[in-house]
Amino acid sequence: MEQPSEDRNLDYQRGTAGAADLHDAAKREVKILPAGSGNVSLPLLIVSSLVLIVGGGHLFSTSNGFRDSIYADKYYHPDPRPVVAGAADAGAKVAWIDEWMDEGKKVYGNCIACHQANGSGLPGAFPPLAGSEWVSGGTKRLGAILMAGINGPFHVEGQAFNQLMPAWSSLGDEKMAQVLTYVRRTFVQLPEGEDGVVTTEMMKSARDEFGAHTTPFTEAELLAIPVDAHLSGAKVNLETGDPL
Amino acid sequence: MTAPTPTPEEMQERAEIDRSARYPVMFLFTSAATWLLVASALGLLSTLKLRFPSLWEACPFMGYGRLYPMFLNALVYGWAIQAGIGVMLWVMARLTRSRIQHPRLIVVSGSIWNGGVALAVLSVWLGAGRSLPLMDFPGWFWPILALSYSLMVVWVFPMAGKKREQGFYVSELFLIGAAVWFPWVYLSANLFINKYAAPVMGAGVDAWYVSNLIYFWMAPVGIAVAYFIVPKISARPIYSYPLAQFSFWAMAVLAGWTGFSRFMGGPFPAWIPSISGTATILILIAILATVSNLLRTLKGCTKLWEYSPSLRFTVLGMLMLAIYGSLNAIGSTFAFGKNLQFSHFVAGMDVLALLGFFSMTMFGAFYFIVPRITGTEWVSAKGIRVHFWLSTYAISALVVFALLSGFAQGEDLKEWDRAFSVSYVNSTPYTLGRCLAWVAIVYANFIFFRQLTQMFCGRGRKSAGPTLLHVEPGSVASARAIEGVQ
Amino acid sequence: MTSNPLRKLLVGLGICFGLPWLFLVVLPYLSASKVGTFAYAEGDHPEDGQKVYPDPVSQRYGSSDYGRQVYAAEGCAYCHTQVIRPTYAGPDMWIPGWAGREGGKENFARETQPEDYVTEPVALLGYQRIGPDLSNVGHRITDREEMHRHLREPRSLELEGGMPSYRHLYRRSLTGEGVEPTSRADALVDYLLSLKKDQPLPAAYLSRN
Repeated sequence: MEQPSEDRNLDYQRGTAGAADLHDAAKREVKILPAGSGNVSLPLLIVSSLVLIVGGGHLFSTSNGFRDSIYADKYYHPDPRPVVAGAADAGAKVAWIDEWMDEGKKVYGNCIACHQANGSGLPGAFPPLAGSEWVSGGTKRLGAILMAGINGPFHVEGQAFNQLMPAWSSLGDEKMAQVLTYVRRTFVQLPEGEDGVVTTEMMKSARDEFGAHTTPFTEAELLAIPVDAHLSGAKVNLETGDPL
Repeated sequence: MTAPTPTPEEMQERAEIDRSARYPVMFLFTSAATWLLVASALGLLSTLKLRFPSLWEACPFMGYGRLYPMFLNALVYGWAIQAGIGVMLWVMARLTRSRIQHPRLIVVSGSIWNGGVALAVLSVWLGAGRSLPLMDFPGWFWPILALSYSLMVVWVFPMAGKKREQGFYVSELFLIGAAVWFPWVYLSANLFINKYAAPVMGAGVDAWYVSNLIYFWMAPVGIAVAYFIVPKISARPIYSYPLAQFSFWAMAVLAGWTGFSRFMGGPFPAWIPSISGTATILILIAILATVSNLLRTLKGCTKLWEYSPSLRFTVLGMLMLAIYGSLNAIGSTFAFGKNLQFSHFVAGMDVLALLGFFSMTMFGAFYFIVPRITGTEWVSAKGIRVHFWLSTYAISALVVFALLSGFAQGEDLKEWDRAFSVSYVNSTPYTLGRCLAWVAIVYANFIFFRQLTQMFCGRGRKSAGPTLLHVEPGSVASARAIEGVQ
Repeated sequence: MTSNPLRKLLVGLGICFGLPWLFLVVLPYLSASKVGTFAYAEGDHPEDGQKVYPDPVSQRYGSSDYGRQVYAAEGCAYCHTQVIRPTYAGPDMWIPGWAGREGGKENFARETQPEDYVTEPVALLGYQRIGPDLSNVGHRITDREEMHRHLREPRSLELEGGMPSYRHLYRRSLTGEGVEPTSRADALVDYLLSLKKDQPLPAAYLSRN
């Protein structure tokens, strides 16, 4: 077989050749036969049925009965956040004392009208907490004041005050413990070795001891309690809050 | 059973049809290939910008949010639809044995289409985009595109309506379907988004439009081409006509319901994405039936695809369609979709459909059609081989990287306590891989473009023998061995 | 054959596509176009007057309408979504700050509803999540300056993020010192600050079906 003449195609290319002058592609091309009627193969049938089942299941399970709701489930309620590994670690890093202090700060909102947010009080009217020897001393006197209140006159940092502080025992032991912890750890220099924590257990013992005292204490009654006396209760681990 | 060789009259008729197709179809093909090159470059640029966000920071025109929509639109409206229309016209003309009428009108409409797409892409570039995938063009563009599309495709109907002795051939069914559905989908999507306001449904209709473009236009055109090229090259009849008919009607019934599953769990009545998801799953049956039908037709002559570029590209495109259909079905169930939705999976799937399936099939058609309408052969078998292997590897890599980073992204988001940027950082190696794949795709498409323009300019190889792979051009022994191929 | 096969085919194709077109697009579209604001009376005290969901005041903010166009033109929706899915469809509700305000006992986090988008011509639900969801970004970033910084020099705030700088929306200040936002940047920030899709759903809305 010899190479066909180059010119023939070139003529066609230029549009000068007659239609009878065929290009080779048209010659070598076969005719399309009428399509056959082969059977469906078994694998195709199996896969198709599986797809059909999955599709039907999908429609059935997600269409929510063709309601107008945007939720695929009639009784949908958002799932809570799942616990992820990283988040559990992050949760453990928040120390018990930080949470305790945060709660105490919230409870302290009850106190800022008189004692002010920074614990300075109002000179001549309300006694300060910041730097006060009452706060830096033992927890027993503080526990007594919160349980029953205190009536003036009394002295703080050498200044005389004549005010009535009501009892706060209605807050409950936990909240009283939290606010006392907040006050002691925030506003004063505590003695060496003391962490300033007041626990719920300590406030329970305060309730046992002073709960029966229905009238506010006077200064003399409180001074009778030793200055470094503490409420009874176990010390706790600041990281976990567990008793030591 | 071997196919009968045509009579000289039939050969002549073919040659006349090819000749009538020469100007309109070649015009559409070359401009489509130009857009493909532009789109590939834009794909590369946008992926680079995705990987290196600080590139070209001071330039307003080089943001990812502008490059990516430009890429998508250039690829779909510039390349895919134009190439599809060209192929549609030629295949239809050949099957109905009628010449292409009004070639000049088609070229003029094609020019309007090209100008419209160019203006529209430019306007997205200049900052008139709308952030709606494939509906980015400003509202007043669509009548231009709709009109020029109609003027090109309407000629399919007189051809299809010609008196005939037998029923429709499979490819005709698919082509007529595509010709009818696209304008309908396009018009309703544009009317609903541009004219009537229903905010959430607007977004949903956009997703519906994108999905319908793939399942109602690209899939039928691609499948029609495959049903034409496979029997032509293998010289065998289609394995089963009933199966082909079944897959056509299954697709026709189901494709219109797809699309909304892109927003599963979004603010729509739950049954809308649910029914879309179901249709996406069920349409897999139609796709698998088609692919298995084609593979059964080719059973026993697999050697052919070593030689024939058309068959190679077409079959690969069909396999990609099967993969696309399967992954899309998986992605539209809650079990998988909840992690894959809105991830790189979405972009990977779009690339798989547009480049993996549709472009590959179109390349197959181009390699078959262009020698016929230009009367010359492809210049270099090596060029075709490079185009094939580079495209195959690069597109597969691109899709695999996108899918993997989609999965990774979904897993990262589930770890809700982490910073969001973790999911971005974890995706960067994959994105770098996608950049490299894009470089290969740009190169492969450049080789394709160069060969095509050579033939367009009349500088194709003049020879009686087709350009086959692994065969010396014109070599006698091999030409006999693979008689009928191409 | 007497009847035209093409005509028969076309009728078949029309029916196949007409059904989904009608039931999936047209009818839902018509009912969705009726989605507007939802008026309701608060709790047991109707005398307090009618309230409206979504609250029209919080939905529009300065030049947020123009800002929405800037958002669309810059292609923001290609990287940011505005949709919070129910927990069976994705982890959106769990990611802190995405679904709405949270803190202490107050929890406004919820899925986005069709009404949340009524002020926009087309909801920009988004394409991908290369960046975080922005349904409630107006709660996460409340400060104007900070929002501007996120647009102008995002990686000064988040070193490894993928957000590119939108420096071209800013120009050199007239005094020569520093930069100032253009009207486009200002509008975009208005729009972003207005994105708060966590207004508590009224009980009447939830029980309407």
